[in-house]
Amino acid sequence: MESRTLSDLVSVVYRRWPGILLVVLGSVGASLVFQAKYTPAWRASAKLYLPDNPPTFSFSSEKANIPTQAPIPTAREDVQLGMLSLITSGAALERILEKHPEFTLQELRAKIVANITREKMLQVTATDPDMHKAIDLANEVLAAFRDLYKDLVERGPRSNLATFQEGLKTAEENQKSAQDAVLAFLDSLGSINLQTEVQRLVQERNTLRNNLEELDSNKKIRETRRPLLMEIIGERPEFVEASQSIGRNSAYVNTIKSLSNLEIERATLLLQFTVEHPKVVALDERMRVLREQAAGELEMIQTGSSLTRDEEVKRMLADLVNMDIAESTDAEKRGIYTARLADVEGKLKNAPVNIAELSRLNNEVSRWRDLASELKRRIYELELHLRHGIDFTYVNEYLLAREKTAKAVPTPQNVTIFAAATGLIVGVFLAVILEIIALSRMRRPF
Amino acid sequence: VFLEQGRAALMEPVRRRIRDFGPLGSALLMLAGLGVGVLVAWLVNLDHAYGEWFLFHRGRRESVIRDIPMLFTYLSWILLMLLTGWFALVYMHGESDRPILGLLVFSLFADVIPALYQGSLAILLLLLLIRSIRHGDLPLRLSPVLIPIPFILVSYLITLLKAPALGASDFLFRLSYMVMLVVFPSLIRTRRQLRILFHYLIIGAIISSTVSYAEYGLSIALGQAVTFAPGAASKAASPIGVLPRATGLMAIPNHFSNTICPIVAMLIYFATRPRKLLSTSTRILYLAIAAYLSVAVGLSFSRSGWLALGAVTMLIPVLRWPKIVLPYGLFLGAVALVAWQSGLAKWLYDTAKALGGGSVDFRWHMNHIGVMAWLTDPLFGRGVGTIRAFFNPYNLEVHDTFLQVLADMGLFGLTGFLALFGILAHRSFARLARTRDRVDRDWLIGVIIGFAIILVQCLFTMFIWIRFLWAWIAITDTVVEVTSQPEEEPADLVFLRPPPNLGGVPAHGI
Repeated sequence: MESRTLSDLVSVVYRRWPGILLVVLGSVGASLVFQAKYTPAWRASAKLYLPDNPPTFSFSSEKANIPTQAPIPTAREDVQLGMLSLITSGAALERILEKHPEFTLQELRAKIVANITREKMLQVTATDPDMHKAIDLANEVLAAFRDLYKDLVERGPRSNLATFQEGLKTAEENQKSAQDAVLAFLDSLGSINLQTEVQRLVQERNTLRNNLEELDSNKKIRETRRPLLMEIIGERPEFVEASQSIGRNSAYVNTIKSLSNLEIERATLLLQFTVEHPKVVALDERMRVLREQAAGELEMIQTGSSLTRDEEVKRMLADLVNMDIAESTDAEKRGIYTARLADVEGKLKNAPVNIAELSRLNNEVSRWRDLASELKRRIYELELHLRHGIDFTYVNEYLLAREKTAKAVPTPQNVTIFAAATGLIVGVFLAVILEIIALSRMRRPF
Repeated sequence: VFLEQGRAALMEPVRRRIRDFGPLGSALLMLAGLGVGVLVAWLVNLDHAYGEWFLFHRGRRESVIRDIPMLFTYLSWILLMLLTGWFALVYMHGESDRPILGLLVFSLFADVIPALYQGSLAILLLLLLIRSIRHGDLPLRLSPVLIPIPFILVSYLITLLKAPALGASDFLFRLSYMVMLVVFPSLIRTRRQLRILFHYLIIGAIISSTVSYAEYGLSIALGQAVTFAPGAASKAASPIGVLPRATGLMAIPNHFSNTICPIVAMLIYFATRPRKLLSTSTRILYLAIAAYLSVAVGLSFSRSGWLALGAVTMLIPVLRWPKIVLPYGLFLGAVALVAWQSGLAKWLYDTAKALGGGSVDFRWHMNHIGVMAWLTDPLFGRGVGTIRAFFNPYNLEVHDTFLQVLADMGLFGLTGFLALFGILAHRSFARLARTRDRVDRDWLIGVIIGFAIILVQCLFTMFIWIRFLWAWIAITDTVVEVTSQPEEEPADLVFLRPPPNLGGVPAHGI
């Protein structure tokens, strides 16, 4: 390093100013030629707003539908990195290549630059000599990214939907099978309502038991009353004779037999109907007529004697008649009741097992029905979401690339400034170098 | 004629007497004072209304103390006090050379004070202009280190062809850093001046480190990081919990450690001088300052700073006492073996790695972005600053200075920078090989050690447009030049002239 002064440097520049000016002018001139022959590239940028959470909706409440704070663009680095790599992925760019077959994938990739701006927005910048193509590329890449991103976001819900739909089929099939099993089981039981049937059987069993007890009770009453009645009637001789003539009256016997049959029929009907049932009422009416007839036939026998005047004897005789009727039907009634009771108890014995089996089958039906119902609800919700679209992103016409915001690179001003500044730097540098060479030659001439 | 008139005017004795401007003049002065008062009140009102909004808007709200109304008013008041103190210093010295140089050197450690460097440089250049007028000329030393500068500038300007905008303000600021390559070698021409410069560097480092201690104290007191670093860069996840990362007066902890570590290394190296060359009191002072600064580097949690400082400091004994290389090497090897076998080394590595959370992964990713950006135009790069918009979710530069140059300016720009470093390295080592004087050798080895530290740290930080790097290039070049000069003070010194007892000319006016 040699000691020089500021004046030396200034004088170098001063003395060699024509050369410096020549270099500057040459540089600027070259830049003008360059600008005339070279088409600048255009850069167009499109931006996308990406909040951390998409707008959502809920069936249960409107709270989720209304944002409670300003949506802030995503600040998570891992998400941002993923988004940037998605932009230049083959999946995104190949969509663009379908529209622009004039490019190769590599050329397209070189034209696209993605970035996350300071405001945390996704920015796609496309460069092309054609301004409109640059704008289209920027917007199309952004749109491709949006679609891809949407696909990515909706992939989970779509997969869930397919699974749910498949699950719904299975659930419905299983529900039908379970229902068929219930029907077949009920059919095997001969009833469509096992609970009611069991209740009815229990009621019938109680009735039968009551009836049997009543038969026993009536028999004991008759056994006690008959001798008493006989004794009372025996104290009245005319009654004895009268009764003897009655026993031998064939019309009376037939009437009693008819009454006996009707009594059995009534007892059978009462197993199914109440006393108010028309059939039972009609039967009662017939029985009442027959009883009157029987009493008449008896009276007709008695009219030959003096017995007809004693009403008390007539009543006791009527009681004896009824006792005879009851006794004549007692064995048959008891046989019917006992057989029926055995049948009912046999059925009731299997009831708990049948109820448990039916419950199990019904539970099976409920389980599949509930599952199918839940799946249907969720399928509907998912379909609604997907029809509405799950979109994290937001863009509008001002964020998209436009002619107004496209920039030429380099601009004519920048080229001129570069040429002038570079010319000046190189010119001064050359002047200093030439000066050093000149000084060296002065000191050490050839 | 103009120059002659100006020189004559400057050579006149300075009148210090307060002049009476008469009643009208006094009234006008009073009115002017009133106007200034109203202006100040208006500014205070603006600060009250919009000061916090401005801080928030600039994204610095998190890194300064929150909720302080009229912060700018307080800062302005402090600045006014500092300016008053500075002028008092100038008055005490009887000249402005030292305060101006001190301010310029201090600005190297104070990136967060806006325009301090440009302001101090402008004052210095103004002073030199006045001196050049007074003396008729100004000594100028153009070093070969300047040869790559045109290449670097042209490489930078290529950004105009690659991007819609250059970032003109950045370019002009960065251009001003390169001015130091001319200013320092031209002004610092003697060993005495070099010592003054070194002392100012130490003072600057101490002030910045003291600020870092204050930051730490405030952070612990307030329970949140009170530093100048933005967001995640202001904290470190240590084994004992999240700790703040001190920044001193720099904007980023790594930059702070980058500025302090070279000074620490030089201090340690100088403190190991033989007894004949250094008094005990100075040795103790140097070591004490080195310890003080080292703790500040520790508080910055800059792992690259720790690494660079540790590695280079371990080399100092080898450089200072070459005869002990073998035993020293064996000792270091034994220590390393014990650390390795005991698991201490792995624990230290894991702990240091965990300090920055995902910082290592982040750097890998940033470097990958840098390589991809470079490959889009290997020759000229993508343009300075454009990497922030290139698949870059971090909005940051590449955290590797060399890769940063490669991505921004391509092979063309990297060639310029490598030429700059290569020429400087060649000059330094060539001078070292020729120098026999022990003190001169210390100066040379000291700045080379400092440069080595910076270059190691450059592998982990975006340091190329930090003015301290350019200052250190200029300082290294200055040391090379000064050590090649004879001991005598030259007669044509225009800056930091020697005091009268050393044969210098008394300070006269400005």
